[in-house]
Amino acid sequence: MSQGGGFYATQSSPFGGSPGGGSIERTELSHSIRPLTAAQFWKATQSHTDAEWQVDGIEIGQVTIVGQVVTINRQATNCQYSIEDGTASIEARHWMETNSDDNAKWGHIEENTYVRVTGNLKAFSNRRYINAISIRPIDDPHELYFHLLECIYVTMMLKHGSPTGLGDNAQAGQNANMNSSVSAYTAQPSGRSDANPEYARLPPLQRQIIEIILQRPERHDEGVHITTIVKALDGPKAEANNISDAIDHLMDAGHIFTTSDDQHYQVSQ
Amino acid sequence: MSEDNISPRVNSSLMPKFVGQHVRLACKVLSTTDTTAKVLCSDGGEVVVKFTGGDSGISATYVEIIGKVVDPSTIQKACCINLGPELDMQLVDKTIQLIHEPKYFKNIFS
Repeated sequence: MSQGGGFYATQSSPFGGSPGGGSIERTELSHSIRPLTAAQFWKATQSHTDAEWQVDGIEIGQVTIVGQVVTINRQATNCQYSIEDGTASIEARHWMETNSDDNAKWGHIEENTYVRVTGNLKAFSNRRYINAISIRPIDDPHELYFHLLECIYVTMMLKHGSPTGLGDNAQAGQNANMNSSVSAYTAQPSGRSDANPEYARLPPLQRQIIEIILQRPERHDEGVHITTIVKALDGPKAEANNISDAIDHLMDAGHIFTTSDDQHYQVSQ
Repeated sequence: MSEDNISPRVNSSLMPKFVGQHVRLACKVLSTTDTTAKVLCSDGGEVVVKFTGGDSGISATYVEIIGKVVDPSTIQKACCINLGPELDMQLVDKTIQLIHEPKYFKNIFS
């Protein structure tokens, strides 16, 4: 996903809702979705009322929880759900939208069934709830067990880093020099993404290519030649196919363009 | 506030540890009477589920019973969630075993 910020504007609420941008600097992690148990939800902490929520010292963006709907309380402006997953009880709520058919989207949630709730963690005085972006029924009970295992997996991975020796294909070479705690659930907090935050969300190889081009003075003239880029990459580690795919993706996304011929590249800025 | 609603997922061999407490028991329904159901747990043990007359709430082969453990082989139903016609009980049992590993139970599941 490239832009998750749209949700914040539409989900604003009278309950200490979203500050609509402004003072808070949102990091990449605020765009991630973290699977949690209800018990972990209650363990989340916040250093002050405007700060990011953290679990085990790691910032969380959106959260996703699978649990049993115990009660539903439908009101004129919002709908509150009490949800239990065996580890604790939490509250989820969603705010009625006037311009859409809410019933089609939310009406099929029933009590005493399992659902997956995805949304943002909110606090209001002593109450804590999920401001739900989506609540959907669990049709296959295995999803419940998948979620429990995923909670363990993600929690352990964020604590100890990815398991090594997974035999993971082409990505392995690209990730070889990345921080070991990098995962799909965290935006990659490696030092070098700080230099060019607009490219932080790109896969490592694509980011490397951008950085190589940016470092070359000749980019302002005829552009940077493809062989220069290949040489500056990790050589044998990055295979020709991967480099060519990465360049295609960068071109498609408009991050780079060809200059004098199709072998010279420049970064769009 | 959150502590009151803990109902750990269990199999039959974990039930002795939770006598008097609420648990969640994923199981296969073997037979029912008007006030009891005999169910097969994920670890292969059989457990009796008690409920008030006619109010089993069971309408699928695989269900999750939420209730209070009366003794190591009996549970008093509080709620029943129907899980459907299929459930991989080996997966359920492995998950339950992981949940009860002390390092995970303390940090993630309670």
